[in-house]
Amino acid sequence: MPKAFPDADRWLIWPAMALGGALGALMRYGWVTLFPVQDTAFPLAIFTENILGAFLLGWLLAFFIRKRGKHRFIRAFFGTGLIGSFTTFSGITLDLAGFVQNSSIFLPVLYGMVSMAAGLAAALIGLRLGRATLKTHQNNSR
Amino acid sequence: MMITPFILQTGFPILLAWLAIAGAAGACLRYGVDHLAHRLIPTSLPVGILAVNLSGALFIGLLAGILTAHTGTTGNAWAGEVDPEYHTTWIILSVGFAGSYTTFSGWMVQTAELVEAGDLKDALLNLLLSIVPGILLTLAGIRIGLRL
Repeated sequence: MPKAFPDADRWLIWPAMALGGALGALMRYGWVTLFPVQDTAFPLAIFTENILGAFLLGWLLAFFIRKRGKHRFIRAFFGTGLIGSFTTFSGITLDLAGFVQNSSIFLPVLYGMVSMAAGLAAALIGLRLGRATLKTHQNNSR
Repeated sequence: MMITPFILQTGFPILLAWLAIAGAAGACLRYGVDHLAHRLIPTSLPVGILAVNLSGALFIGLLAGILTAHTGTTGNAWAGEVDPEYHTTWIILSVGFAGSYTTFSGWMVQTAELVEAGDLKDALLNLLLSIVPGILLTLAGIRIGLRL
């Protein structure tokens, strides 16, 4: 950052987030539209993108650990922006609502539980792998 | 008659542009609401993403209900059943805006951090407080939206 704008860090993360968010939304639309398996009762497209996103965000936030400088922009663009927008919660509740309105109870409970269990596991693995990558990276650059 | 693939339809680049704008707005609003909620509500729970996801769940329900009302169908208001006339509006605001505003990855990573900190009670609470009210708010939104 140029020293003439000491506050640039604070507002420049907004365009980074906006750009990442725009890309994330387009990627999710593409993913859902082009997903190979359609017409299944289980919303596989949203499920897979959410689990993938949980893993990637875990890795990203564990590897780019600093909250200032370059890391701040990488976290804003890829984390809050791209991955944050790529994954979705309202898509899950909408599908769940659809199941409930079709008076099925088994599928929404299964979908909700599997999403949370797999997402949590993916995030934990992502965080650990991110820390491991960071350690290797630091050892290599020494 | 040959059906034009959706990618070649004239409105497609415009739809992509709107999706990008909606996605950008969603991400920025998420960041703003997240920080605001943390400032207003002092708690050990990741209350910012909770506020984002629950408000987004209500929004998508309301949207589905409102855009379905005109068809006069059964009120099975969700993705496939929105009034065809409003399909593009629906895609932009649900996939583009609400989808980007709400987040799964942030919710999961914050829960994972609670698990790693040994705070299992808060982790479980963070899962349940999102998913159960989330689905109820979407359902309520649909019901309210159908009456608007």
